[in-house]
Amino acid sequence: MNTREIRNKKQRIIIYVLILIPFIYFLYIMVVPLGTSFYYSLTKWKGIGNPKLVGFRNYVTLFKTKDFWLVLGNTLFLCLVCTVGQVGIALLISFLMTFKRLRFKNFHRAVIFFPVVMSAIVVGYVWRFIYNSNYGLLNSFLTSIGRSDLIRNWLDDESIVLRCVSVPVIWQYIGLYMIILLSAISAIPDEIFECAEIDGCTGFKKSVYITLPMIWDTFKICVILCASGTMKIYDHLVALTNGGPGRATESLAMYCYEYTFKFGNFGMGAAIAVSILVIAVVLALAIQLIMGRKETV
Amino acid sequence: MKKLKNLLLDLLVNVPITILSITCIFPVVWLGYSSVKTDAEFTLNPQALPTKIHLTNYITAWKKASFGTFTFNSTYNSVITLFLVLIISFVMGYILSRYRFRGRNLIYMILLATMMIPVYALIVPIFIQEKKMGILNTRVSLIPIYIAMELPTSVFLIDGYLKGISVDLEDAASIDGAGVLRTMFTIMMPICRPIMSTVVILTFMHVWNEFAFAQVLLTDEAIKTIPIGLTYFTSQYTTSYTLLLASLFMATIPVLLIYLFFNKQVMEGMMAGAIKG
Repeated sequence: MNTREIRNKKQRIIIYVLILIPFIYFLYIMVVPLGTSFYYSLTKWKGIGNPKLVGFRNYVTLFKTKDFWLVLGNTLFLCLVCTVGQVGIALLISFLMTFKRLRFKNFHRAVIFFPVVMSAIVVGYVWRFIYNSNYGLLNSFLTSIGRSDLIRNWLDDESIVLRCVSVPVIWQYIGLYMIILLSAISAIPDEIFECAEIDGCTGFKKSVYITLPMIWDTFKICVILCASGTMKIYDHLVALTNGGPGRATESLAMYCYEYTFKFGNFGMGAAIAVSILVIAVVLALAIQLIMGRKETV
Repeated sequence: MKKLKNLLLDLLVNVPITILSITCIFPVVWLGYSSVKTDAEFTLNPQALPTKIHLTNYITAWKKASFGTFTFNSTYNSVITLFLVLIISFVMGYILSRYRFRGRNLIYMILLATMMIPVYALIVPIFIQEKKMGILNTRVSLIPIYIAMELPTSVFLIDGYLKGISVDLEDAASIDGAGVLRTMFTIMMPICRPIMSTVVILTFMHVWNEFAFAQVLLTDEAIKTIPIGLTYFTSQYTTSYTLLLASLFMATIPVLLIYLFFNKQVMEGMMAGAIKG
């Protein structure tokens, strides 16, 4: 280990001062608000005056509101679809990336990763142009290939809009999970692949029986990251539909924003924020439990 | 027969990835060329290439739609955040990596755990806190939060990098009488340059694109950032699609340039920062 000894008292003091000042600052910004968030969620408060403690009443009201369940449903749906889409496609792509047949690997890797660094707002607006019913790229593409019958009002049709908005989100982050999985794959010793090939295990068989078990832990982390990341989906939806039509594409984070800053109901807003956190943690634990630790070959 | 099978397999592997690559590159290219069209040209055929280059959209966005102000604000926030994140994360990363002291593991664990917190759980209390302190809706509203948000990733990047660097140089320096601070800043900081550049790029991208906090904490037009500015183009300037396209493209240019020049560092950083989702 490349570590150094603390030689004397003076050094020890310098070290503690240097680490504790920024760390306490960090706690103050990132950890303390978690506690206050929970406290506010137990109060009735309009943002002015003193918060009044009401126990768990906000949560009770919240769970009785129909919209909350609708919005929660939307968010969980997006969570599921985006996780399967992003991590699933990323897994397939990284399998393909290991094949010798694939050409321009570095180019593909760089390009597929690019959307990750774009602003979610920009991605949202660009896809709004793609989906637009009058001059949208998708509809004009469908017309040009002679399939005008498939033309829809992609973002105005309540029955399909939620599926439509999941596409840009999936598209944007495939690259991120691809890179994580690829780096896990590159850590697998070459001999393992060589042995497998000698035994006649090639192509997708090799990917499923050798590569996947070897990167299972990383794969699991990707699923957890993706699911808990999508729980707080916000920017994309603001840019794409702003929650509409009606509440058809509203997420929990948007609902929290609405309650807090539009209705001025801070107690309720905090309760929604705490729910997001709790659901994200529960989801992460559940995935951990379900996916378990697969025996490595 | 074998040749045919080979060809088919080649196609099977290459075609899907190529299609995905094209869809990843196309929106940016399309943004670029569509933003120099006129509205009439755009609505006539949104896919077609422009016949003539019109820069009017850029000029309008910059002047009338105060894109200049938004750019200044985003740059201001990014530069200050970057500078402070670099110093703070270097100090923390260095100490956590080099020294073992009581509480070190606890600090390490807390930093790691906070990477999982969805920022939305923090937005209400931070809003209230800033209101009480009177820094809501000012030039310093966002910077302290961005710094804290960027710290864990940056600290882990630097800590990880230092693990791979031998302490010989530092030991030699301390024999020559250099103290902790001097060793840290004059000897180790230059050595950490490669990883510091990753930190810079990653922090820049996050801060440049951040939306949620900027939306909640700022109401004054004069200090809003680019992502917020972009949402105006649909409400206030709905008449012009190409104006929106031009501003979207302008918002993407810095990120695009950085990605073109530093994509290796970006990828490395993103992988370390992936925990943040």
